[in-house]
Amino acid sequence: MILVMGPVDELLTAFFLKHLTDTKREYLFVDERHLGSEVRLELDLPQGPSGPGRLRGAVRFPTWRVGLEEISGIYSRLGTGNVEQQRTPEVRAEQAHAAALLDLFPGPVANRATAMLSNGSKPCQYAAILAAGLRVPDTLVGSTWERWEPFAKALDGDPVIKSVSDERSLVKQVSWEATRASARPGQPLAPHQFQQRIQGTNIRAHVVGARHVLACRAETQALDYRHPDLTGHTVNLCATELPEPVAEACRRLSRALGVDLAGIDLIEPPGGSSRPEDWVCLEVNTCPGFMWFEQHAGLPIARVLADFLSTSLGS
Amino acid sequence: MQNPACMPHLVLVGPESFPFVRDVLRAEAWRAGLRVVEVSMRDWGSSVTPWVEVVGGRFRAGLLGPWGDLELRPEDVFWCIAEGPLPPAESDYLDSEHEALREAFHTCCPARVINRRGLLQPLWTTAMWRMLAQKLPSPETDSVLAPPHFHLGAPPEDGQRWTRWPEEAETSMGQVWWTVPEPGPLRQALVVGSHVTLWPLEFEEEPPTLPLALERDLTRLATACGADVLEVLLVPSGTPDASARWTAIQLGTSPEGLERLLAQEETVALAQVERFLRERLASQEDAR
Repeated sequence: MILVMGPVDELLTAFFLKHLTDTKREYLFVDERHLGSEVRLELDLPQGPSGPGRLRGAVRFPTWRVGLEEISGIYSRLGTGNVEQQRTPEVRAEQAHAAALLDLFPGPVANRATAMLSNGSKPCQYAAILAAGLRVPDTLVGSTWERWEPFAKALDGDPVIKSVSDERSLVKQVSWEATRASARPGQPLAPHQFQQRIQGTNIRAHVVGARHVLACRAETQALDYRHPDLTGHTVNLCATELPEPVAEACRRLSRALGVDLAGIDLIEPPGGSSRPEDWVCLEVNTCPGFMWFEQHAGLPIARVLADFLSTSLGS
Repeated sequence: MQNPACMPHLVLVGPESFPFVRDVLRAEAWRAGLRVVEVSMRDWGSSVTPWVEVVGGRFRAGLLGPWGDLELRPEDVFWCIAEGPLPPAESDYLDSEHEALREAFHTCCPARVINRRGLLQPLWTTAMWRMLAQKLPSPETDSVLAPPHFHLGAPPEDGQRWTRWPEEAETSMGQVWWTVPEPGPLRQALVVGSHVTLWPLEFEEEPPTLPLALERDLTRLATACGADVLEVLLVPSGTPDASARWTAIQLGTSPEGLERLLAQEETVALAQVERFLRERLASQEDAR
């Protein structure tokens, strides 16, 4: 069975649970709010050869328990949905045990706690993206006027500004002059990520198990296709097939980052290309909200993910 | 004599916590013709801030400090020996941005880096007990190095002596317990590059010898962790029929044990670190 952990009222958690129910899959759900009160995790890792079967334990409820050997895969939305919860020592302990379970569970996990961290700094991902064979935008990360001015002036057009971290930010296009004018006298520039604006079509590729690639094209005039309404634009999402070398680069990237569910933001060059080095990767979302893409582009992401998490070890 | 402006740099962050290690680094840098730049933990992230640039798929990175803008190139060497939390920013958002900038520098800096940090490096993202659980024993059947028996939750009442994993208790409140069957005397292994030494931490009549199989497993462990300098606390242990004969009970990335040995004028440890630094400061293999 699939273990799902997250807040019951979080959109994607609810969406995936509904899919599992509708398709009559066997699953076990742990509401994040119950960790440390009604649900406890019991994990035991004795000395012995590495491999499946070494991690033992159970998910314990007040009157029953489910052994880890009954679980085929785990889907986690822990930490999403802005859950307000009293962080008692018991709650904090069980959250830590849940993170440990995600890292140590021998079967498929979307996603392991540690593997999700790469999204905390976009340039860190760029090292992995380049190694996978895709391009990244010319980028400057820092808080220095001295570097920012020559970088901005060398670009073709005004640069795009966005957060360095995974903090949600509205992507904007800014001019050097406007940014300089908005600075507070005597204050250093706050850290920012400046990069060239890339011409082409936005593509979101969801990669499941570093194997299945489900891509969709976002057709819009907006700079940030996730928020087209803020600039008075619309967006049209439709399923698409990536050229196989590009799909393979996405698989390599997912594997390198250790994520079993990746949301890879790509830009297809104008006129198209099957060469990965012509495609720009903006970032890899390690906790992707795939519901919007599934609903609007008809991609069967939940089904493919459920299939993957149902796959027992070794099969 | 080389023009100092053209000399490659050895940039050290947080060396003030390890004065004996710092002395060796300074001496070896001078010998190799590298100019030493030292950034204190207090200055790292406040008066000295990093930048990272990628143009045409090529990374550049540097540090802005009182000296101006110091770009680090593949011929330079960087070792962040110790770093603390960044000074608080005006908002949580800016805190995250400063942290992300520092992580970006650690990951993407094109210099030769000793113990590279960053979000792609497991030693800096994973709790140490989980590193032991994940990396040991190595899948090879001849492994002699194992992690302790770990248990999460209330400690089992099985008559064994269970000890709480201290860092986890301090940071996440996780209840992580460990035990080792029949532990022998506590020892410390120092893995520096491809060289390993073993040191007693309790009184022992004879200095411990380093079995070849243990040396091989410790080198494998450091490689699996992506570490150039790794300190491993370990005990000989286990029942006679167990295949693993050593248990690693802690990993350390800051050179505390090395500092102690250098302070005690242990010539073997000094020779070990000098040999590593001579190889590392002369080679350009690790440059990105």
